[in-house]
Amino acid sequence: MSTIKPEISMSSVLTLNPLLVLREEDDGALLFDPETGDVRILNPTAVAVCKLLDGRRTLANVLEDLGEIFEGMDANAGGQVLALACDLYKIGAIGTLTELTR
Amino acid sequence: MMPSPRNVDLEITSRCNATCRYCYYLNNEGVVYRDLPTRQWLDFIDELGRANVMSVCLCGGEAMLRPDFFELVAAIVRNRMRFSILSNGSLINRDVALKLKETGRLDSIQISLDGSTPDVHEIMRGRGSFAPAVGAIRLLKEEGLPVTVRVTVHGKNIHDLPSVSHLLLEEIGLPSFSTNAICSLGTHAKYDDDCFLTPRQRLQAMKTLAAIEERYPGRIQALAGPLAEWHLFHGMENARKKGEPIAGRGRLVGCGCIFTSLAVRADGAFIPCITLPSMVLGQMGRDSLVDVWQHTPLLNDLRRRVTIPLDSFAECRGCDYLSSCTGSCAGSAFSLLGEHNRPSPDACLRRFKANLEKEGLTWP
Repeated sequence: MSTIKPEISMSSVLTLNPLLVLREEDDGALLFDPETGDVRILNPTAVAVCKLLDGRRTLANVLEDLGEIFEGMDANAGGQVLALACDLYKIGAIGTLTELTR
Repeated sequence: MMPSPRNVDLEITSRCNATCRYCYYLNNEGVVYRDLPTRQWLDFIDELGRANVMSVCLCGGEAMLRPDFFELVAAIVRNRMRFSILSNGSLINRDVALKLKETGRLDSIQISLDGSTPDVHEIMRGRGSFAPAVGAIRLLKEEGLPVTVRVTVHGKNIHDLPSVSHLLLEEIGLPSFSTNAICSLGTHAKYDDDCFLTPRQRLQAMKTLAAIEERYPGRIQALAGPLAEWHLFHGMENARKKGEPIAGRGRLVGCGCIFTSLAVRADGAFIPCITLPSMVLGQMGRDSLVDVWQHTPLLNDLRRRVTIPLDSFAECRGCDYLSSCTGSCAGSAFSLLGEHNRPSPDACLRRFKANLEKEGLTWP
């Protein structure tokens, strides 16, 4: 997973890198980079975020949709979603459509 | 259960240019010698990609005998997978090595080498097979590819194990290599008696490999065969002496592959593992991989073996090692007994000790 400078906010529209494999398993999921063989273990919330990042929703939209999936979300959920997105963005696991298709 | 296997072994051809005496493909009436056309494999590799399989192992036969080998590799890359190869090394040249390198997806390429000289290596693997194998190992290492070596231990190469270790670890400079031993595969396998280690030879191989391991710490790997058994049996003996069980044992837990992997024969038959070649679960092109993985009663029955206590088997009752034994490999049990959900007699420490005693030997 290559390093990309993180410049994202809640209004960013992002998508999962199509070169990676999101492999859902019983107790979470694996985000697999076939180029490097790196595997990142995702918890159910991170999986939901990855699946909602479809290149159309903003991170704010994603947060709203998460509220419908998970009851009683943490008051700091927005900050956590942004932190997760930054983390995934840094390693190239997510990006804008323009970045990931060029 | 996982929604699909993480890894799939693909026996992409039943053809081979070697005549290894202990290979189950050689003159085996249980093997279907029918290779599938390129299109069928390409469609299946696309199916693996859709199922989010992470890696495949290309084996056979000699996988590289397929003229479309790199077409299949390209499909693996396109479908976001990594791959490994099992080979005798005979078809590897600089051009092949560079093409493999270009993929950037090769996890390992394993070359079989059974001895440090042609005389030893070729006893079981056939004349003229040593130089290509060693040449391939050197070439792949030179090109920076992840080459590994498997040394199969049999009665006629135990004396050479220190020399082959020296060749691989010091002369060629590999970080490590792995060992195993010959085991029968499938119900129709035809093996000569001298392929298998006698109890005396098995003990000798264990001691030899343990000494080599001491000399090269962490550089000799073994998931099966004499070195693996040396460690397994010592663990069991220690547990017996302390009167303590080993956590998670005492049931048929010797096989973990069936929870993460599947295999496909050259004729497209889905099988649980290459050690169970006659246990057909479905057919490529007719059955869906995911459906076979999740719903085949035979495979799910095989997975349930981990719940079967060893003391439910008459042959295990009263054994001092009951709470530290794994029951070993389902494939080995099936080959030897015709039943997959039984402990394999081949890996029974009590039986091994009794056999040693018959020869006037004792387990250290």
